[in-house]
Amino acid sequence: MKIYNFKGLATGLGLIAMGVVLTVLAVIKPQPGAANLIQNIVLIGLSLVLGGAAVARSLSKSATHNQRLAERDERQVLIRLRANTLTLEIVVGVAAVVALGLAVIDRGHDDLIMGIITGSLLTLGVAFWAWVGATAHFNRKF
Amino acid sequence: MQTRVKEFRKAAGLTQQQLADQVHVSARTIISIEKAQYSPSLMLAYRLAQVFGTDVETLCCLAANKELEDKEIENL
Repeated sequence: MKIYNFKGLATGLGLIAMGVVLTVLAVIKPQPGAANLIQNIVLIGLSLVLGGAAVARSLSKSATHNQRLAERDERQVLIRLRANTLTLEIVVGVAAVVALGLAVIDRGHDDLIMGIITGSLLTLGVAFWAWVGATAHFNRKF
Repeated sequence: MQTRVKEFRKAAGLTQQQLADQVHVSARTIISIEKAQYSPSLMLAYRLAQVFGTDVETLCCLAANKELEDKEIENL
């Protein structure tokens, strides 16, 4: 068995590990409610399926070759570049507006650590959704 | 940029996927080129021209596209 894509294998194993951890947590510390149960089933299922698929692809020569060809596709490269740039612009803009707003309202956290954690999580969330939107936009445009 | 990729592809009896495989891009890229949503790089244009046995200037209608661009720039 030969590994053709180490990055894909690492991603797959990471997802499988996450699925296993979530399963163990769900068994050791079950959360009440049907909604939590459904959420756990979906998350665990997705982690294991996607992880398994990534591992299988990393061990397949043809799948790895096709994946690398797709990554090289010049239109995809352009979309990635434009989406990343637009995402950065959106995140910087939002961060600036939020920082200015907080300064004006003077509602900054007294606890610096909590403030940094909250700010980081907010920035990550904005960055993720900005990237999703930007990628979809440029996929349609090009 | 308008091209004659669709015209040449149909004349050659190729599907979009078959053409994409020959020039090492995705079928989605060929679709975008045919819809004039995406302009191929120089190398891709050259590969496409080679597949159809023509030259880049003819395939990509460079003279006509240059005139259009010149007019757009004048109107800026």
